Amino acid sequence: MKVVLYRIDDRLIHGQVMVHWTGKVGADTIVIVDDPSAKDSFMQQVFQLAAPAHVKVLVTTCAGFKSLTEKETGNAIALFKDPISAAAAVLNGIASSEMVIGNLASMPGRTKATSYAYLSLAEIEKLTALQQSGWKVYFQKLPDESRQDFKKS
Amino acid sequence: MVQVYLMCHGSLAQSLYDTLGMFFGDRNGLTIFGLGEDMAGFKDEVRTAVLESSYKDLLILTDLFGGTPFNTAAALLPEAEEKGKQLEILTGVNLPMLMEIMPLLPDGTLGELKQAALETGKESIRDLKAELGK
Repeated sequence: MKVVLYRIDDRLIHGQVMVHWTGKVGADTIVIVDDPSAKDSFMQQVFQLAAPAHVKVLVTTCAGFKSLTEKETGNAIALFKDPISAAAAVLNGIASSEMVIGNLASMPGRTKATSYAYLSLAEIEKLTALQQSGWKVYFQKLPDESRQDFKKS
Repeated sequence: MVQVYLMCHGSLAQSLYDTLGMFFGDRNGLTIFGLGEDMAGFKDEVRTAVLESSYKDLLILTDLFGGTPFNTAAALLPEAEEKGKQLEILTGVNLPMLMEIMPLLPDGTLGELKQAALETGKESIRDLKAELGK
């Protein structure tokens, strides 16, 4: 399996936005990497229904992500709910690439990074760790909107 | 008795509700939920309204399949049913759909409302020139 997009978005799969991203990067598979979702067979069915018709949806844990990419085929978008799970999933032997940050809702402990992404100190540390491992980390809300580099500041 | 929950992004639910007021004076059977910037607040509000509703039957109408309002409602389905609630969740809510179900409240059954909403919602999308045979 070739992961063509690594994306952090707390909404995971959502409506028309998935259509845009899968189209833009040419993905035929979406991998949801989220420990709670991996145990929730009901939501897995809902996610499968929500994806575009020609797109396969797989759900795995952070720990199981690497072996899934080795076992499965296709061009995939990997979706993470937050920077902590993203780092846990990829900082164990996945070749560094680009990590795109989308929607991260405001909640206690998080401060505003962009108009759509709020980050906690722990999340900033994990994103910095990704950068230090060679990952390019940036914010991008939609495929046709501008990118903003992540800077620990 | 059925309560209808309208759950959409931004101000769509509010706008549909307001516009419905041009046709129906009594919109008591309808409750609206709008997802703005406060996603956590929206999810809490919906969770309480679904699981702690005094109504046993809920018809939930959302805008986008797989959108956050829809995902929020769908995620509550197993728990709501465990609590003895009956939920139906439809997407693609439009004005004709709402106008069709308003007269069926409060006495219509959940099944009747869902069927009416589904059929009218779909059938209301028409092409004038095709129908005129042009």
